[in-house]
Amino acid sequence: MTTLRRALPPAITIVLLIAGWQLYTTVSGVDRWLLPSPKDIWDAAVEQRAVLTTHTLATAELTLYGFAAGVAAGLLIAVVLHLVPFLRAAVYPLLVISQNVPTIAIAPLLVVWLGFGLAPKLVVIILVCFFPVAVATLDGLGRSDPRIADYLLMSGAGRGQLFTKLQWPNALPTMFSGLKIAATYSVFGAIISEWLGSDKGIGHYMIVQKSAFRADRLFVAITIVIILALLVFGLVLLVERLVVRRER
Amino acid sequence: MSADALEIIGLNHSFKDLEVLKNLDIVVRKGEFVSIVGPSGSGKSTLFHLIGGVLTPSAGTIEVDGKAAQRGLIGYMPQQPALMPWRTIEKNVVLAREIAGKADLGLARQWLEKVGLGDFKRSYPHQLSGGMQQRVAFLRALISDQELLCLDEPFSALDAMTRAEMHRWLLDIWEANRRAVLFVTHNIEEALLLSDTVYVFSHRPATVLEKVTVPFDRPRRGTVVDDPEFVGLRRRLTDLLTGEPR
Repeated sequence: MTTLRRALPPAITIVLLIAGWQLYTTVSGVDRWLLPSPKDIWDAAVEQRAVLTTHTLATAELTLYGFAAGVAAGLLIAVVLHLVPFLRAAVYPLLVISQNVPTIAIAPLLVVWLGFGLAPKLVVIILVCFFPVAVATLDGLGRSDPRIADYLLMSGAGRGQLFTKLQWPNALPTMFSGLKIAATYSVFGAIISEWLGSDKGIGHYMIVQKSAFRADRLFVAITIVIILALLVFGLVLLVERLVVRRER
Repeated sequence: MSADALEIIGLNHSFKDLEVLKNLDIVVRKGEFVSIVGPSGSGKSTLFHLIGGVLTPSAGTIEVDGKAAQRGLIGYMPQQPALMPWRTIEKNVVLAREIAGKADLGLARQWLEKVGLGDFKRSYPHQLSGGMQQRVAFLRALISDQELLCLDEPFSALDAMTRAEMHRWLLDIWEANRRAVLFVTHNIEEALLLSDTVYVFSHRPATVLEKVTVPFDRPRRGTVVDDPEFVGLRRRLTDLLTGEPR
């Protein structure tokens, strides 16, 4: 009931927006290649569904590989920097600076170095995903309750137990905040990496349709990107529900 | 003859130039309830960290159950319950044994049942009141399978009513399951009510001003606080503590 009540206002907003869009395109008679109506977009989706399914699956696969690799890299960096304070002091500022380098700018370099295969695409997704995961996890690891830490030390716990019993479980909620950000970034990273040079995927499809001025098909592609991002986000939410049982 | 649960001889400790503990001699025999009362900031927590092996003394010896003080020899109950919010009550109680690699969930449940917390075994700490959380923290220390329990001002954050309830609860459990207890408090009445022996500490650097043997029988009734001898003792210790220059 409450879920329904919460979902209703945004749903109404979306319906109104689409209706307004449809009305505007019909009344103004704007060119189809400039701004297609929702009806045109829907027709394009139906017409292209076989091709789109192949491309969507390709992008979904790339996204999941990249997301998994990015999360693994983020967690690894967080744990290592947490356990070695010297490294943290040395590397953390560089990590922050690295985020100011636009991915789109280094992507061509990656192609030069790594070719057109899977490797440069994965690296692009890892680059956009690892940072939120690493920062959020590092933050959670460093913020455990000092009173519980004191209790554990007094009760004979070693450094390893301090990590496994206190710091790691304490970091899970913040880690999942990072995972959620990374989840939405991962699809975005996959699309960019497909723009670089690929013969499949929604990113590749967008490049082809752009050259043909098929705005309707570009809108279909954008919709698919949104849906993919929501799915990965939902996957993270689901895992979070299963793993984090803290009730506060 | 077996060793005492705790034997401290000639203990001194300083942080850089700051003398915190000076020439302490303290003994806790097996099954004895010993309290330390002293003004705030008299180094009681430092003493616990030394006994727990988290700090190393500047001079003197500490033996826990015949072994030189090191980590993992005591059951500890801190001032704040320090329960893990993501663990259920039973999983929290089992923690001390888990650290020692002897986790026993069945034993934890059995004890929760025995001390009237059985209904809460699947609850999370935030669902319990402050007093209940302290009971859980005490139980966690009690079943830790250590000879010596160290209780660091465990009831100082509780209101007077809850505190009185906790005293009764603690006495009942302890009198049925005698363990060596070292109890730190700044509440003189609490110390006299619970203990066999009370050490009175001075202000920093802490020295033992007096060692008092509490003359009342076990099991101890709550009415003992109205006994003229109790009142007299409380008066004398209060004077001893407040007469100390600060």
